[in-house]
Amino acid sequence: MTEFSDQIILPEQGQSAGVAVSLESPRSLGGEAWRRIVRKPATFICLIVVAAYVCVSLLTFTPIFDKRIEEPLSADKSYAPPALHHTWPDGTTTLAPACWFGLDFEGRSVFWRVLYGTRTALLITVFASAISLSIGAALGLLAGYFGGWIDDLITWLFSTVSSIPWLLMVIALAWVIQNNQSLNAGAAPSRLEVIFGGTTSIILALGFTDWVGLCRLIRGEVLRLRDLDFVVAARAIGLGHGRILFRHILPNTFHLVIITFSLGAVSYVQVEVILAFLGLGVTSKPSWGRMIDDSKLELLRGVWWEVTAATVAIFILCLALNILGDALRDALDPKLHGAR
Amino acid sequence: MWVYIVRRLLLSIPILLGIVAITFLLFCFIAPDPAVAYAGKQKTPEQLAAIRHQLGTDQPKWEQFVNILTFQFPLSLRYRESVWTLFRLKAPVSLAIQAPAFFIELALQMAIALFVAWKRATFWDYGITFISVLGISVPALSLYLAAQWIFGGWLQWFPVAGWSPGFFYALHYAVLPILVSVIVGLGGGVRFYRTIALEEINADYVRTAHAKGVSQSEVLFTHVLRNLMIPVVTQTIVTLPLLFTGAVLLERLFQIPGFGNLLVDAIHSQDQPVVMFITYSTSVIYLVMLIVTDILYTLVDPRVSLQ
Amino acid sequence: MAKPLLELRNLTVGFDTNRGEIRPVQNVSFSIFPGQTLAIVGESGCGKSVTALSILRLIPSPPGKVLGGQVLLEGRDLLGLSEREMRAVRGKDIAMIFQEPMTSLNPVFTVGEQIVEAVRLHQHVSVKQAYQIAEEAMHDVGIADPGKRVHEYPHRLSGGMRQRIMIAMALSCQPKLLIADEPTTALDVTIQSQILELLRKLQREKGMSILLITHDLGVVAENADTVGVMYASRLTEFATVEDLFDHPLHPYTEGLFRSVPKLGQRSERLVTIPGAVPNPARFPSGCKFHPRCPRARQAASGTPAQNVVQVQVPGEKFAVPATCARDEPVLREVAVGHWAACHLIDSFAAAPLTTPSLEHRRTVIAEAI
Repeated sequence: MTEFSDQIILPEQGQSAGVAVSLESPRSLGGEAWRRIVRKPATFICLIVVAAYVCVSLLTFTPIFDKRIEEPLSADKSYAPPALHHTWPDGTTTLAPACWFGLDFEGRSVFWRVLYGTRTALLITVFASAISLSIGAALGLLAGYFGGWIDDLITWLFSTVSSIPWLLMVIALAWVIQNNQSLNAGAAPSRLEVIFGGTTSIILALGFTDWVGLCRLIRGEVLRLRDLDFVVAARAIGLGHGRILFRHILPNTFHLVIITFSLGAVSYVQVEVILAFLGLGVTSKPSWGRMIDDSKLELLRGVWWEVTAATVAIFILCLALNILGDALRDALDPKLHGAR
Repeated sequence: MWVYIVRRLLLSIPILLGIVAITFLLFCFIAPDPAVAYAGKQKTPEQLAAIRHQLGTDQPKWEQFVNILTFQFPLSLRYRESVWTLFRLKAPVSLAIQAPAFFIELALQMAIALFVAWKRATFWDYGITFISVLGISVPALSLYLAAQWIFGGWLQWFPVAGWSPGFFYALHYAVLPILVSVIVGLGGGVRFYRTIALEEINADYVRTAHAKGVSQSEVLFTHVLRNLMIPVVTQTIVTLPLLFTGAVLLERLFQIPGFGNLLVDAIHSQDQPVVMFITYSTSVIYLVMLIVTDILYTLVDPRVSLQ
Repeated sequence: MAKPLLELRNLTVGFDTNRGEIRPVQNVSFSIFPGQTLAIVGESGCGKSVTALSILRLIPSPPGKVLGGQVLLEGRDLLGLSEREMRAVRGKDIAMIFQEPMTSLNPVFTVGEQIVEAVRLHQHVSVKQAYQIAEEAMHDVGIADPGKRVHEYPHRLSGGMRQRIMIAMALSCQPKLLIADEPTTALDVTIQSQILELLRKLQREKGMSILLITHDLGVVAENADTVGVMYASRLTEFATVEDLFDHPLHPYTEGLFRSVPKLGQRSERLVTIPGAVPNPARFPSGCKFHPRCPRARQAASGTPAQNVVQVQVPGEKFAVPATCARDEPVLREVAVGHWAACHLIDSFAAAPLTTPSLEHRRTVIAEAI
């Protein structure tokens, strides 16, 4: 595994007895990365896991879930430990997936609620990332490319934002936004609210605070790229700034965006737990953080299944994302390829 | 050297102003009327006006800006105390937990990272790395709950939650939170330091040291460790804010009357002055720490000159 | 007949990679005598650095390991020593300097501290005495004002000075053998010659041997007493420097000489050896050079079809003698004091199998190549 000295690292060559060398055709970084991930069983499984989560979360938009996450299944509308079977009101006993993870404090199916939790995680991850990655990339590109006072301004901006401890800022922003919402709430919920539930405050809070990391990375990369020959050549033949930025520089920073996204997803899912615990991001729909928060007091009384189910759901997703993120970073980091 | 410090401080002024601006924006613009938020919609206009006056929100905006800058905060709505009083009461408690946790964690992380770098590419390396990846994938809240349940509820070694003044009594209550804090934070740091330690151990100067006849342990503890100090300084500063706010979860769960718990209370009771104060003061402290780090950095890395 | 200072016998080193085990060094044998300079020449990837590091057992294991052979320092097999005994050898009996002076010194310690570390590891002296020794060593390598320089950090010194510090550090305990792994490759040409001259001077003064690893034939011509040529993990030729330059016997060596442009020569294209160095994970069978060997190609044209094997390289197909493609040639003494590994040398099969060992000092200053 270790390439010990320069002398051992050699280009990929095809050879059998008597056949001399040929250099393989160059592959794109992205294609190479994809191949690496798909080939190794560990990362491939992680990819499947994440895909599975995404599929489940998409399913939550269908009516299948609406009833199942709300209807109480136990006789006294309260906790029940996990069980394989359930006895329905009409007397029949069947295998009931709804009971496999037990019932929560209102007798609802933990199984279906945990599955629904993927939706909250997906919404938050996708939309918060969309905001933070866009801001970070845009500012990073502008700062790195144009330099001068634009760079100074943007640098001041992200230095300032990063001077505030991140979690603190998220909490403060989420709190303020949520207050705003609850005090200005109308009578009937808008379409957006139906989809997002109470997660808008979390999404906005995360989106507008987490862009600093990517901004810094991209700015650094653009600074490096700006002086490379191909950019100078592009300018020499008269390409406009916008063209250069979009077609030449931005594609070379994509790998940073992807890596940041995968790492960000993990922290967003985990921060949701903390925010839910604090009472921010309140929503009537199930989310993993709320489930843990709701049942935490009951833990000491021996009610372990809700916390465990939500924790395991988070754990598996974060583990898969972490492993994928590491693999992506290894695959996409140009420094680790060949030239030393 | 002093010139450098002064310059650094001067350069921080725009950032300080920026922090004030953000605080201002957050709490004086985006936030809805805190009086209403606190009192609810039912209160009479006179009562609301009284609250507003107390909060200072009836002042012109620029005055409010200056107030923040000069650390003049209104009294806490909930406690009717000066925020400073609250700070004086609560901050030491938080520190009592976070400071020991921080140092223990740091020492452990570096020790484990060095160990893993020494035993690289062996079972130990992969095992420890894998466990730390597992560790950062579990939500912290669950780990806290699990620890409470195991050590407090089941084994009954430590009290599940609570606090008490007085050094020795507090110790009893502090052990579990510190322990859990260390465990939770270990994973991320181990991964980070391991990466750095591995880079250093593959460095050319390590090869030179071996060629001179230096033993493996000497290489690790003298050469590699000394180089490890450099990122330690920078990484420490990155994890410092977690001291303040990671405390949030911890103090709530373990019912420790510290700074983090204060924040949560303030959020629940719509106590804007306190939230504002905590946001602002924590950021300023952090800013100061950043400057200190820069200075420390120049001391620790001979390649960086005081320019 | 004096005894050699260092003798390698059939050294074989393996590496575990995710492509399986590769062997960057196979059955390498040679000797170095006291006060002699042996140059090992070869292209990148031929195994010369790994050989040098294996002498001091600096190959990290895992994933590398010595699979066989002996490394005899004054008769004592270094491969059989414990780690502690080996540490007493490193820096004291055998010292090593490396290619990259920029990164080979620890950036957080002063150069003085680093030299003193080497000194105090092997000699029982106080810190003050160690610093004196360090300053003397720095003076020996031509660093001006050593008293002041000794407290500098490496990043403040130029590349040439750093390499001098490395040499000072290596020489501070009076080693018998200095291994220099491409000591000048990373330096400017003018500094190169200064450093090499310094090494020659120190060798004369201290009577130490030098194992010089390089890919530069010019460096070999001006500094070596004896030369070994390595290709794809094996020694393919070994001779005195004069013999090698006057009568190269192995087709690879011939190719190397042909590819060096000569002043005053007029030609349209530079001559190269076609093809590229093989990947250690997939060495060719038989003689590792046969896919690129002009001599084999020529030999096949006058040979009956059944003794010939077809070779496919991108772009063409040609024939080489069957022995070249199937049997790996071992280094044999094909002429007195001249070893080579090539089936197509006259009476190669009958040549004796002896360990390359030449107690020789250069008598000729080779012409500028």
